Amino acid sequence: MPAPPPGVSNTDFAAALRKLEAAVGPEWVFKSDEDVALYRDAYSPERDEPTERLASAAVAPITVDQVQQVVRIANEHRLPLYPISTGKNLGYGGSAPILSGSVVVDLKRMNRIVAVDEGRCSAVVEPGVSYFDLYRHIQERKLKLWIDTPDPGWGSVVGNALDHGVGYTLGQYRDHFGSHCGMEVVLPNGELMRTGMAALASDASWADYKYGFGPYVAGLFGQANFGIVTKMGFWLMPEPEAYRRGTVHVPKRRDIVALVEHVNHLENLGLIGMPGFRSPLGFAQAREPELRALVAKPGGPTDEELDRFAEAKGVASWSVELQFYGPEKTIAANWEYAQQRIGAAIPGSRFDDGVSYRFPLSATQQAEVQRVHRLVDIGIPNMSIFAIAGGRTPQNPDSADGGQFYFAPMIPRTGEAILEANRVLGQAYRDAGVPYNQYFSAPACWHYRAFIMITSLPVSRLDPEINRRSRAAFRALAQVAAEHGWGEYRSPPFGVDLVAGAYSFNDHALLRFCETLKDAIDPNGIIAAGRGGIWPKHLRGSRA
Amino acid sequence: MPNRREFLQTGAVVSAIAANGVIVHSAHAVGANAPIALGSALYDDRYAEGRRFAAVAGGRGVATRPLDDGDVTRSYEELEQLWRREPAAIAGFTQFGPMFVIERLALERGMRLALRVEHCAARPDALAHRLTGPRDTLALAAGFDALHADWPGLMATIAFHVAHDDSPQRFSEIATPGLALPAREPRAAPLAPFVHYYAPHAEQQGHGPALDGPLYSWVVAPPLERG
Repeated sequence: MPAPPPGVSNTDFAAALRKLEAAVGPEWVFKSDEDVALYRDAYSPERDEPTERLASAAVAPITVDQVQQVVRIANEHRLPLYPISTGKNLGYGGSAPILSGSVVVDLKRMNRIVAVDEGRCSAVVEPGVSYFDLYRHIQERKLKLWIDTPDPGWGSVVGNALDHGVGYTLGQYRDHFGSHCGMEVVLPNGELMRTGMAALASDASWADYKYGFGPYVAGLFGQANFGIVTKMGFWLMPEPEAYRRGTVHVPKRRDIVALVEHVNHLENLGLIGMPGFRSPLGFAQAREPELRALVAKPGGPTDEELDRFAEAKGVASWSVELQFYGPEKTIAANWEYAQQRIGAAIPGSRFDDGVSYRFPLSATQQAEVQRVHRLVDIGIPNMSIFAIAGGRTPQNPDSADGGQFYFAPMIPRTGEAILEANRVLGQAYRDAGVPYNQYFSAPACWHYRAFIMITSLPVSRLDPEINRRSRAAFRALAQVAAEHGWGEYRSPPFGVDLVAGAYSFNDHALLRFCETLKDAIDPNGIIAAGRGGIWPKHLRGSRA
Repeated sequence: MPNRREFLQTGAVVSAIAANGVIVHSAHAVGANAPIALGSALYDDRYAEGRRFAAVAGGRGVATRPLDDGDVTRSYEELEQLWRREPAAIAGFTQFGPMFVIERLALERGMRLALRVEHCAARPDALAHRLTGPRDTLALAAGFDALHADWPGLMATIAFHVAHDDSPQRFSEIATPGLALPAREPRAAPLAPFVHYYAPHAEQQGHGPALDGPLYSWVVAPPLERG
C-alpha cells in the first residue's frame, strides 16, 4: 500500500481505498508505485527532489454519481483529493497534485460529448473530452462549427478552461473560461450543483445564457478548489466563410506604441482575431554580430541607435500578424482598412499579404495547410509544438529534455507597457542570471484585453541545478513583476503561494475571502489543497 | 567466419546481422523472456539515420510511418484511436518531442516505454548511445561496445529483440567513435517554418533557431501478461 496522505493514518487510508474500490471498481483505483508514478508532473522543476509533488494514489470515476461517492468517502476519512481532467497542463503542474500525498481524481474516463448544437453554436462536454475528441466529433458530422484549441490539442476542453487556458482565434472564443456557459459541479459535501441556465429544472438552455438569475458563481471553480466540475457548456464559433492573414511592419522602435493602439482598435471592433507581435530586428541578432554588440554594450543601446541599425539593414523594428475571419469580401475590406489606418498613422509602415483560405478545406488543402500554417489559428488541434527542436544554442546550452515552465505576467495592453516591462524584467532577468531578449521581447495576446510577457524557463530531468536556477529566477521575477502591478495569470505548483500573495490589495482581502469560502464550503479541506493559492484551514501554515 | 566484433567493425549492413543469426542467437542466449512483437515503426525522415532505421524495420515486415516534417500529430491521432481498441507495440526513431508524446499516450493506455536510447554527442569525438531498457536487451547491446557507422540499422534490429520484461529497467552507455550527432537535411523546397508562441527558450532570447537536441530510438509496448 502507498504511503498515506498527510494527516491520514495507515488504517484510515486503507479503509478509504477499499471504499473507493467499492465505489468505482477495484481496477480503477491506482495504488501501485508503477501506476501512481504516471501522475508525476512530466515537466516538474522539482523532479527527484524532496519537494516534488507526488500523489499517494489515484481514482478514476466514470459517472457523476461515482464522483459524488468519491467525495463523500474523502470526507469520511479526511482524504485530500486532487481532481484533474486529463492532466495535460504541462508547465503548470500536469497531473500531479499541489499537496503531496493527495489522491488524484482522474476524470479522463468521463469523456462524453453530451451535446453539440450547430444552430446555437454550442457544446456541453465532460472533463475527459479532449480538443481532438470534440474536433473529431464535429468533423465526422460535418457540422459548420469551429473550436478554439490551445497548443497542443491533446488536453481537456474543460480542464483548459478551468485553468484559464487560451487559444488563438477571436477574442470571445480564445478566452476558454470566458467562452464557457453553464457548468455542473460536485461540491465538497458531495452535492451536485449547476450554474447559469443549467440550474433550471430543464437544462434546455444550458449553453445559451451564462448568468441565469442571481450571483454568477461559476468563476469560483476556475483555478480554485470549491468543487469538482463534471460538465461544462461552451460557445463555439460558426465556421467562417474565409480566413486571411496580413503582416504589418513598422520601422522604428517607438512605433510599437502607435501600432498597439491601432491593433487594439481593430480588435476591440471585432475586426481581427488574435494579433501576433514580433520584433524582426530582434530575430536579426542571430545573423548580425554588430547588433549583438550594440545590445551587449554597457547601458544598452538607445532607441536611436537601434533605429539607425534597423534602417541601415532594412529590417523592421516590430511587426504584427493580423488574422481575419468572416466573409471573403468583408475580411478583404477589413485588411484594406487596417492598412489604410496604420499606414496613415505610422510613416514607413509596410504591409505583406499572407495566406488566405476558404472553408471547408478539402483533405488535400488541410494537408497543405498543416505544413505551412499554424493550425491552431484556424481551430484545428494538433501536436506540432512537439516538433520544435531541442532548444539549445551555443549561447544558451540549457537542456530542455525535461520540458519547461512559464513566467507569465499580465501587463497593460499598450506599447509603453511592453517597453517598460522589457526594461524592468530585463534587469530582473540579468539579476537572476537568466538571459532575456530585453530590447525585442513581444507579448503574447491570448487574453483579450491584456498582454502576457510570457517566457519559458527550462526544466531538466537530469540536472537539478538547471531546475533550481529556473525556480529561483521565477521567484525573483514574480516579485519584481508584482512590485510593478504585473501579476501572473497561471503558476507552476511551487509558485502558487507567491503568485496568489501578489494579489495583496487591502491586506490580501481577496485571498482571505477565498479562505473564508473554503472553510465554509469545504470544512474538511478535501478538494485540491493549494490550488489557486487557497489552502484549507488545517494546512494554511504549510503553503506550497 | 569473423567473430561478432570483427563483423560489426567491417561496416556490414545490420540487416545481415539478423540474417546470419548473430543477434538472434545472442538474444536467446542472454535471457528467457520472449521479444516484444512490434506492430509498426515511426521515424523522422529528415535524418538519413531515421530513414535507415525505417528501412531495416520495414525489411522485417512492420509498417513504417514517417513523421510529417517532425510533426507527430497524425501518428498521435492514429495511435490514440488504435490503442483504444487494442494495445500494440511500436518502435521509433525521433527527436525528444514525438517520443514524449507517444510515451504519454502509451502510459494512458496501460503501456510503457520499454526501451529508450538517447543518441547524443556527449563524448569527445564519439556519438554516445545511452540505453535504458530491460536487462536482456542491454546485455545484448552491451556486447557491442563500439557501434559502427550503421548504428541506426543496429538500433532497429535491437528494437525487434527488446525482451518482454517488466523488471526494473537498467541503464548503460556505448559509443560510436568518429561520428557526430545526426543533422537534419535541408529540404529541396523548404517549408514555411512553424512559428510558435511557446518557442524554445533559446529562440526567445534572440539566439536564432535552436539546435537539434538528441535523437532517440525507442520501443513502446504493452505490459507483460503474467499467467
